[in-house]
Amino acid sequence: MASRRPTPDSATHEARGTRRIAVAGNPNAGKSTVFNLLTGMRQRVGNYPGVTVERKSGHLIGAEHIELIDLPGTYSLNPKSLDEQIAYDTITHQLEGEDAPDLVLCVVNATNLERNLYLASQIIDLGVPTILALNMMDEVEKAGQVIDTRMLSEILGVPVVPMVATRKEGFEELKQALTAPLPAPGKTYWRLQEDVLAAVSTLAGTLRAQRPDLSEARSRAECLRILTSDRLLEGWKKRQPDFHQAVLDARAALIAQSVPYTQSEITGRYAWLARVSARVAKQQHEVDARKLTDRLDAILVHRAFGPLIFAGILLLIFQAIFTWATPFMDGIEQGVMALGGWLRSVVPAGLPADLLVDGVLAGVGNVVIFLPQILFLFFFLSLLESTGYMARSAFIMDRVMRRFGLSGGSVMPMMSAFACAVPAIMATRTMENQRERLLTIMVLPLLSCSARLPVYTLFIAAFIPATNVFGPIGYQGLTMLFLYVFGLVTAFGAAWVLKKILKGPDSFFMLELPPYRAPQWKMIFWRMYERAKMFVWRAGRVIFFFSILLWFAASYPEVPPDPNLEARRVAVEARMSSANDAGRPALEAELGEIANAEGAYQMEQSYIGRLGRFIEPVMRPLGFDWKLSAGILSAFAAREVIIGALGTIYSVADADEHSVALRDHLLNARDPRTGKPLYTTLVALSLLVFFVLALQCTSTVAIARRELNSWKWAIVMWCYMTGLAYLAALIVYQGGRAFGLG
Amino acid sequence: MTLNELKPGCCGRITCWCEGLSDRLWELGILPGTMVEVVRVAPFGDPIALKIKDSQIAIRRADATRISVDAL
Repeated sequence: MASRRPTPDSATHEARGTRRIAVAGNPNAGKSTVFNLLTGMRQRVGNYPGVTVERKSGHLIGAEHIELIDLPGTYSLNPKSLDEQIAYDTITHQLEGEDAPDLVLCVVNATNLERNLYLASQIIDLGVPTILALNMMDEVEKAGQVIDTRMLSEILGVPVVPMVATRKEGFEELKQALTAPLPAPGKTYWRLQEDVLAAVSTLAGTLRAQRPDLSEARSRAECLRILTSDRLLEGWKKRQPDFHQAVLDARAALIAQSVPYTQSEITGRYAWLARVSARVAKQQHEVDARKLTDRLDAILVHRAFGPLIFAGILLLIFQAIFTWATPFMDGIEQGVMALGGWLRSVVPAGLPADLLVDGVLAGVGNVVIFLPQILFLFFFLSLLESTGYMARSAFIMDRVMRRFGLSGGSVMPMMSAFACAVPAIMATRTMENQRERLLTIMVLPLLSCSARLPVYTLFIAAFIPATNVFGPIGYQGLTMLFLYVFGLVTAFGAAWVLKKILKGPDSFFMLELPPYRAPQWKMIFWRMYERAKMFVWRAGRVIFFFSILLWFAASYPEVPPDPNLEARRVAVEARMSSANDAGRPALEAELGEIANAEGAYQMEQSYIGRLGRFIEPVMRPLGFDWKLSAGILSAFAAREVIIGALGTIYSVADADEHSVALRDHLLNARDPRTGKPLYTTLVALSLLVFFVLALQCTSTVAIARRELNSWKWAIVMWCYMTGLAYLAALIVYQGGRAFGLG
Repeated sequence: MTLNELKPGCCGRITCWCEGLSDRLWELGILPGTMVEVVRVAPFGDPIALKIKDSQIAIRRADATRISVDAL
């Protein structure tokens, strides 16, 4: 399995004086650290064409003509997850709109040489010029080993650069290797079982008839990949039905001879790699390298302490999101309000000011307000990831999660979902089992994200008595806790039901437990920044757009002012001109009241008001009048929008969840027919339960569609959650009334 | 015996495999002839952490029952 010819595309890059380098490597090999080191953290984050897998690229420091592309971490080129498929397709130039790399930089974890060389040797087999970065050489030394990098380079025929990426050691040497003229492709000397080799050669002939541009070795390497991977074969079904059939036939023939073709490559490769690593890596003296990790694991994964510590860490994260983030969020809110006031003072009043302040600025504010929570969340998640604890949390929780059709891999996405479902859904990409991934995505939005928090806060403060039950614990706090637990329990219940509906093969689970490492603060802060940027961009655009749309729907069509209010205003204004200084404040207050009433009148006639009246019959059984219904409708764009909407409906200027005025309006609202309070504690509970369960978030629907690559599941998600919400609110309201409440 | 029966702290050599297991385990080096040590069991009894080549990998008991080992 050897080839030595760069692909034609790469030749053209070199001719233009540019170079594209794909950075590949196993998970936990320090690939991101190397990538950040080489690009100096000046990166562009985008998507691979057609899929939402994040594509990071950047230029080599001091060599702007060299572009580096960070591939997702992979164990092999036999793709089992979307991430891995992208890595394979990029290296082999099969992604439309993505140029072929001229060179692959394979980051190798030197402490785990044999297994890391598995991927490296597969890349070398494809005939792409390759350079190995032998990372974590310090840990090799600590383990009492030496690696003969020169010998490794001679055996594989590729440049090998030893380095310690976290300490910048080997950076200059690696940079030199990357800027030097392209090395010749390397060679591997492993042997494939005869029967399989024959099948691969035949297939390679068929493939070359269609793709004469491929070298013989390259087409053989690709055919071996396609023969062994269902995921890759699937792609040929549409592209080349004949070739697809030829591969199926070859498989059938091998199975008939009972040749384990999928495993023959693995055993052949490892047999050779075991010899290679025995030759290049020598144990100098015995050291128990995993001592620290083992000692830490004895506590952190302990039968009793392990789950307790995990629960403690969860509590700490929640504490950070809900308590420590509050001052920052209040600050942002005040800043946005101050900016709005300033804008109103400089922009001409009327439409321009309204659009700018109530539409655009409110839209931006709705997004930015969540940044402190998102930043805190990702600080902790990156910290846990970078130290190696995250894998342990999956290890601890897998058994529990599996009962509900989820897996240990669902733990981190579920933790993220308490801040926002959008990054949480994206965090499921590394899950190999597609069924578990689907189940996880389907239930993630049931966990109470931070957008629900302001809604919870407003209605709890207005309708739940602030009295204490025992000690410092009061009804309000208990209600809040109940809402979070209710969402969590429903999520597990929904997963369990979905697991029963979606019968699938028993899941496979594999998890690497990397050694514990000191956190890399620079990387952690970098990741926080990246995630925050992504959130603002992804979720932000949607919330922003709908905030403006909502403002429009609440402000139009413009109706002529109510004649009664108009008459009152004229009368008050007339008294104002003749009033003395002492009488003015009272009159001004009355004018303000009239302005609010005029706003409410306009609201009632607006599109959103009409829509609220239209769906009122459906929402009545839940205890919601047209105003709440209009608010809930608007919240289907994004949950927190309801607060601004209710503020508009009740004409409370600058309403937020702490707004006393809005609270009082809700409390004092009367039914025009009976004169009784319109909103009772029961109505509030019904509304809160509705908000826990309903999928009121356009960004979540959009991201679910993209990640699952199907409208079907996104629609199923929206329908089941909103259906559950309606049902639960109905039970709360009607049940409560039956017991004589409300 | 199967890998599932191996006690924590014990080593074994993998002898054979049952059908239906993901190739991913092979790719990680869990293949016939390889030495494996059960390092520890997760707090709730499943999965189990294995030491294989130079890394620790956790797999579920259901998968471990499909791997035969000779205890050493």
